[in-house]
Amino acid sequence: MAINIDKYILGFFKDAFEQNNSELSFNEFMSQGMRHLKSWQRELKHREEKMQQCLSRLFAEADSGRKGVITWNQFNSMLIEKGLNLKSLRNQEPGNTALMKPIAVSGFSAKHNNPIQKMVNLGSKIAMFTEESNQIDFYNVDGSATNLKPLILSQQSLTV
Amino acid sequence: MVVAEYKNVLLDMIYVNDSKYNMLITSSSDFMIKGWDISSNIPSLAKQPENED
Repeated sequence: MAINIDKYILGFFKDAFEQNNSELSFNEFMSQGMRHLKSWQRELKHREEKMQQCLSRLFAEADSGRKGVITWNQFNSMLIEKGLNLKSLRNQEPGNTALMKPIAVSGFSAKHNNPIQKMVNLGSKIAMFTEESNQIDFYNVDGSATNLKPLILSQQSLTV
Repeated sequence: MVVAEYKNVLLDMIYVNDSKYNMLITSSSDFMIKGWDISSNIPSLAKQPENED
């Protein structure tokens, strides 16, 4: 669970910091957050409690010295740092990480017109079907063509 | 006379990787669960395995 601090919300926080000599106590910060995040996750159960937890975490991250008060610069720097970290994570290609490496198959690729709903491992083959489909397609895991024909469920007709 | 047709779509499938079965089981919107033999080139309905009980 996270709070998205957009420019609009950031503007409210900036105003609040400026009106309080560029610093906010924990209670002031929570009060400003609760007041201006009215559109945050409206359907969420225990919304206020979760919002308080998120705001509290944000405050704690900015309050690195545990003084119970944060300045605008601390808050803004923390957000920039979080944003940069997020951006670097998004830009990271899975193949460059130690934990995620692409599987070396020779050109396995299959394009479908609808989102793929289910895939299962058949050992040397993969079976898959797409959303709203009555057809199962089979592929060899090494990318080569399979002789197995698609499995097509028959359509039922209501007759009189 | 055909009065209505609906599209029978796949909902889920599992593969029973056991030498006794080796069967692809599908569930579909026509309320059916079916077992498929995919050992040959053309999938076909699998025979009901004999019960050992």
